[in-house]
Amino acid sequence: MADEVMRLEMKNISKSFGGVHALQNVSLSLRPGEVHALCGENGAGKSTLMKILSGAYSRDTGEIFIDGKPVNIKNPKDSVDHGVSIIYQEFASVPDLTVAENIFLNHVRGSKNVINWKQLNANAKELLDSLGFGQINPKSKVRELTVAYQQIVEICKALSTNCSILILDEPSAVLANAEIRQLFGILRKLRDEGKSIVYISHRLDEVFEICDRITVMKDGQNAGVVNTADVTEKQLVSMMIGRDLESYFPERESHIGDVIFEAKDIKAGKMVQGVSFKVHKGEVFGLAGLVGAGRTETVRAIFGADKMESGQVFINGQEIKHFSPRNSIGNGYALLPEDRKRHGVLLNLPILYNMTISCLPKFCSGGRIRKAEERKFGDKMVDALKIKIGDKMDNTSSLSGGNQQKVAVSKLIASDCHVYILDEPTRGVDVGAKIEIYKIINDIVAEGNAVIMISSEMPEVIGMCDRVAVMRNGKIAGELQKEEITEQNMIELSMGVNKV
Amino acid sequence: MAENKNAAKEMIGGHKMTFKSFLLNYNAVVILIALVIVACIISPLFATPQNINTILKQQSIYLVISMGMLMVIITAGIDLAAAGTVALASIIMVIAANQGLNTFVCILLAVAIGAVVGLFNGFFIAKMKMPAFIVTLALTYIAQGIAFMLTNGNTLLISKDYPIYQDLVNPGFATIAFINIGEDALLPLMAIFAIAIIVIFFIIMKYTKFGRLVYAVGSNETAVQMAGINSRAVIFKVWLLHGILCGIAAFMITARTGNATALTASGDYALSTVAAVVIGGASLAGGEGSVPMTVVGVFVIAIIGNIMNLIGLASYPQMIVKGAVIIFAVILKSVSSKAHE
Repeated sequence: MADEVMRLEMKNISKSFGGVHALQNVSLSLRPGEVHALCGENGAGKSTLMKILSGAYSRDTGEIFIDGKPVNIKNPKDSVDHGVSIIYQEFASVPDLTVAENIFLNHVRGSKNVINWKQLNANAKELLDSLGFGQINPKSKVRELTVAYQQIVEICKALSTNCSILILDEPSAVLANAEIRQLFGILRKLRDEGKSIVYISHRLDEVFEICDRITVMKDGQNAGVVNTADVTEKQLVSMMIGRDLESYFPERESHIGDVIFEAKDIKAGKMVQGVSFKVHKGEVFGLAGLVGAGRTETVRAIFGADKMESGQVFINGQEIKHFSPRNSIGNGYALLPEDRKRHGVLLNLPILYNMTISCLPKFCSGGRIRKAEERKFGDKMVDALKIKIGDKMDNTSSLSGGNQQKVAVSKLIASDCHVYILDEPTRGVDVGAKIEIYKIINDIVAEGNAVIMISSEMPEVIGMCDRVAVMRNGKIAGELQKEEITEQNMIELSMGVNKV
Repeated sequence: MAENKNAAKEMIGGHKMTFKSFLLNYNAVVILIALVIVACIISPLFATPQNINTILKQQSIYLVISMGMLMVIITAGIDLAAAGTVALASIIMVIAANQGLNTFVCILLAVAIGAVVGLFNGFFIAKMKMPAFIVTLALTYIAQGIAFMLTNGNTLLISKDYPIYQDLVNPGFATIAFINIGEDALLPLMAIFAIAIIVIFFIIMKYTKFGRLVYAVGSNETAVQMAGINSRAVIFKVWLLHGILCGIAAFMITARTGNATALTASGDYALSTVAAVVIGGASLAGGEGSVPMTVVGVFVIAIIGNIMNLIGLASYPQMIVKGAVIIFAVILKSVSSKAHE
């Protein structure tokens, strides 16, 4: 292998932020025509390494070679010129521009002053078609697309630059299984064309399916490079977290009680066309299905975040009359929104303020906040949820994604509800934090409360849920009891293969 | 558990009180101290009781308005019509005074006019969800129009025949005559009045549920709504309070000058207070800003003006210098926040 010219070699890269070593002597090599996984917990330095490659950060020390030649990447433009294209976990699309404009955003800088719209839209359509997403209209604004489609646009944008190195940071976090299959199809095609792909993902099943080699990082250092064929999932996890992982899903003894929550014939827009389900005390109820099946839309309507056209919601047998987030929480059910940054946390406020915002009256006497009690409550939450923070008065934006999510969860729990609706609670969260969120879910139901969980990760649904309703085209396609919850059954229901 | 050491370290390390992070949060203090030193060197008149008295009296009005402006900006709004509001309230107050109305009633009237404007803003901005920039831009014209119609372009003087003149304008001995007492004192009573309001708002913003919600709504309104809070009611209250503060400022101006004029509507009360709030570290995107730093911001602008008055610089070059300092302050903030990343 010594003579083989690597597509990319990053050697002994180090980077510090204000005295903190984010990366220490990290190396990464890519062969031409391979899909290479970069694994590690959140904060292990994967994103920092990729940001150095894409020119968003500059390295302190170390060398980068592309096709055997040393290159000096100082800014994002250098990186694009060397054929590197990156799709960030937090999309970089311009929401108010159209799909076509976003896809060709990079090209606009050098082109003529007059835009040929017909040509632009046609080219965009061609790219979208080649990915199998012809249903996305090049003329619609990116803001109007679902998160999954926005990601497709991002991928097209990267492909439009004819890159030879493509970096995907958590590409599947927002995709449902069918879309992931399509994405993998694309990736295989690109690999066969000789492109090198860096694939960052927390979903190990995907890593094993699509990747040829795996570089594992831990605490800003290399923890090893392996051929996918030579390791098992368990070995990989222990490389990532530095210990053995007996089980992903903490054990729970289910004590299922009476019906606590019931939704009847919920209708809201095109996406929700008559959804009914019941949830019992002490139960984790899963809402599965493909992205776009109407899961998020259903719970948003129930919660009152979006308009509900018709339908009834009962909590403890009491019908709820008015739907607004405020009323819903007053009635005892709360929602953890899918989009953490937009709907979940107050990024530029202290962590503590986030935790107590939904229960401020608890600490108030006559409008004045009893700060000592508030702080005590914050400490309790930080301990209970094992949130890793420097100081609870730090801004929430200083936390890693997983810890931000825990802050969002603690905000939710603080609202003292009986039914918690969690929309993709572990999206973009590392293995360790995932397990802790699962434990929190177990604690919630252990107290006799109920959880409604939306998840696109099948193993999570299987591992956590007592009962699952699978949605398809805005309706419940079928319900599965604990022992029937298998990937096979869920896929069949969600894709309408046959009725169980 | 495999501790996420890096992230944790990064967070703790990032929040050490370094010079950079001090500069990031308190650059206006540095500027203010520098300005005071420069002022003391340039002019021996600066540190005299008369001059300090003048600055404090002038700035009392700006300080009161800036408290409202601060809240508005924290909720990601802006009020371009503050001067118009102040003008309207002071004109109506003087008209009422010259009808022989009781002093106390006149003051209440000024505050009430401010509150009415606040309700107007609150209705369109919080309830109708219109952008504050547009609503208050429109309001500026409306207020100017009404102000000129009411005064016919004249300056309305408070007539000496009525008791209110004794109460407010002429330093007398009647009940509410405190405003102008102590003409040459180091701390004019007008400033004490402003300090009281500042202290009240400091407490509101830091220690009350309302203050917390103001920051939260400005930071991420959707997230606040999802937490079951009526965010629009918070914004409505912010505008109402801001209107009331403009009414109070109007009564202070009237007491100070003894008259009311439509020209107040084209004064710099709106933009100058916006600048003060921004110099004090607030972000027009919302969620950031503090009462003490806004006070610092007000004095940064005040002392620039004062220095230039003392060295006899004409008012037009003064404006250029003011503009330059505002840009400098914001550059300092963005440079230090970049270094912080």
